[in-house]
Amino acid sequence: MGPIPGMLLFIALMAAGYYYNLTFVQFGLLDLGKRLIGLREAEIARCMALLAGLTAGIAVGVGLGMSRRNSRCLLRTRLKLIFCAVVAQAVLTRLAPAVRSETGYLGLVAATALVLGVGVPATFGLTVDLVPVRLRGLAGALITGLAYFPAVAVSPDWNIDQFSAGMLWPMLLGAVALAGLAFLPLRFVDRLAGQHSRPDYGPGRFIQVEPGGRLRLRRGLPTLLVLMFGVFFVDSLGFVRLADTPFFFETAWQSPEPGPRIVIGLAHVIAALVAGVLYSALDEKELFLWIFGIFALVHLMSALTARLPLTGTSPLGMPVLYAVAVSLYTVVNFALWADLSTPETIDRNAALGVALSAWTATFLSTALALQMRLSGVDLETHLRLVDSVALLFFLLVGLLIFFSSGRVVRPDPRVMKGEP
Amino acid sequence: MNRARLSGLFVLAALALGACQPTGAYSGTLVLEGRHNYDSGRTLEGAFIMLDGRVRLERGARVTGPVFLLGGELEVAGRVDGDVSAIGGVLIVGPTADLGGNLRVGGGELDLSPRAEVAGQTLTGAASGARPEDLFPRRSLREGIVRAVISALLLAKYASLAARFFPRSLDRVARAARSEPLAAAAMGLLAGVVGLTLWVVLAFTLILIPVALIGLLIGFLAIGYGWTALGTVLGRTLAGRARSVPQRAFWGTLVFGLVLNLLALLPYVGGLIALTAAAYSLGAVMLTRFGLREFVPAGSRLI
Repeated sequence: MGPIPGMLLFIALMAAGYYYNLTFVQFGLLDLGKRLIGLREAEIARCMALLAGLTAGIAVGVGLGMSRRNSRCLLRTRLKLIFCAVVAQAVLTRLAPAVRSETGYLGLVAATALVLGVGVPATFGLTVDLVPVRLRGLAGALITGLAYFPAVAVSPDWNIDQFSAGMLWPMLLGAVALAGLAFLPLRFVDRLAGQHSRPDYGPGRFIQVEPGGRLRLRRGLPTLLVLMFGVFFVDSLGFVRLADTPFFFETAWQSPEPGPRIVIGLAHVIAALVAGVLYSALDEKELFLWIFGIFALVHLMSALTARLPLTGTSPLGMPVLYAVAVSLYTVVNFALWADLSTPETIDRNAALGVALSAWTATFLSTALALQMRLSGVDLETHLRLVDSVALLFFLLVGLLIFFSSGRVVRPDPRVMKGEP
Repeated sequence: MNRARLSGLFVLAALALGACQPTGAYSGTLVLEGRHNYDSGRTLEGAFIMLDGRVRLERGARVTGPVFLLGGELEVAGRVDGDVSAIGGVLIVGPTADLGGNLRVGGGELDLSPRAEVAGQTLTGAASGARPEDLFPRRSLREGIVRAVISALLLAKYASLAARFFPRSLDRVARAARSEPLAAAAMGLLAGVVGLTLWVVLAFTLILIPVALIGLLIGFLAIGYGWTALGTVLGRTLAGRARSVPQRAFWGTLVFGLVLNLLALLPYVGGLIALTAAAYSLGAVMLTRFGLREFVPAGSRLI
């Protein structure tokens, strides 16, 4: 069987899940707490911290648990877990707009954390069965484009009622399809379930098969965790403050006119495709260098804009460049954890990667951004600080590249040609 | 990198930074938006360019250079030493205004007080030379073809020089472009978008305009170098081993440049073709770092 059916399944699941995370979780829950329940910013920030912390903890627990079972035939188990997560998400999506108390909000947040904590490692774990190593950049690109374009270009109002109404039926349809895949004895699924034992699927790009068949990781997982943490941290620390500045947000990401939103959505798609190609062509550290460099440039631009009187319309250069940086690192995030793993370690590595870098960084940066605003740090100073952090990471990656260059390389031609 | 190249880079960087002095050579004012009042006694050095917003130049205030109005509302009640040109927006020239040059209005609205002093001529419409189409004039097909031939000849000369002095480097760029066309195009697109943004940011600081200009020159040289590499390959195919390497590079690049420049003249798709070719060759040059290293895709490397 060719790689296309498995890839399509993976891309559909990941793109839908990421779209849900981008819209309902990140902005729907904020809108619910702020507008419908009337919580103060500090209270919402605490709830979001709870969401991030719980999700990270549950994801690590689930990931480690799945890895310890060392089960190589987990595709159906993973599909069953994802089915349960989608059903639970559909219920939460239906109930969310009716929540009107702080206790109910906390319960909703905790339940969302549980669902995400189970769903994320299970979905990332599908990579080793569904996506061959050489196509992981492309898969990441398609997921990123499919999730970001509708999230940015199509959703004009980021409120919970709209998300709830728009997502419920697609989620239920998805749940029915998933039930079929997970519970019916389909030969197609059985064939997919065995693909992780093939050399072009199972061991990731950064796993070396040593003489004797032993698998060895050729990259420092902690270094990549720190770099991904840095990327998420810089992104969130800057974006939270930009999102709180109506001039930036209402002239770009939430513009009432569709034009700017479509331009930003297209920038996401094109940048994702570029990243998908470059993921296979460049060393991952070079990609990180580009990402941090672009973030530094973006925040330099936004700090320059913030010096002007913030009225009228803003040029789209900054949001477009922002979209480029975000798409670049999102593609890397979708492909990297599987490429650092074997079928036995994918659940653990994906859970650690997403929990320790994405959620922890997002939680810390959101809390820090809020604290800085409450302490009276003005917009320009805030953006300059973010710029400095981005530049520091840029220098760090530059040094890493400098000190690691020269240790090159012969390929395992079978893996790159996609031969079994 | 050898010592001569390192010294050359150091001298280039020193010259670029040495040019970055607030001597007035690059002074100017750029208004993007917002309300701005320049009071009596205020002097704005150099050109004054306005894209949007509302600006009032009070009586007694002065602009020492020309004024360009592209959008927004500009009210002049003070002194402008140079020409005042408007191609958009609203230009109000008050009774106390004192314009040292011409007043050119090719677009937008003009409210000119009869008591305003204009030392030069007041030109409106096509006669003003300040219409948007004057900035980006349409060329006839014949003019376009002449320009295409001249630029292809220049590129071919550049190719023969590059092939004479850096033949291995050109080979590396050509190999990267041929073996990894998608990676080259993706890298070129990314580098182009980021490079242009960086260029605008550098230019906005005014003091770093020399650095921005050098960056732009390097960008053009890189694109030309990529086209040269592709032209050299074409030359090898067309002429085989019959000619010397610089000659093959010259003739191959001439054919390549002519075809590309003529395709770029096509309506609607011409610009896209030129942009794609530029991104593709810039990417190949970047992947090989101007041909200084062989490009091996990371996906096929092991530590």
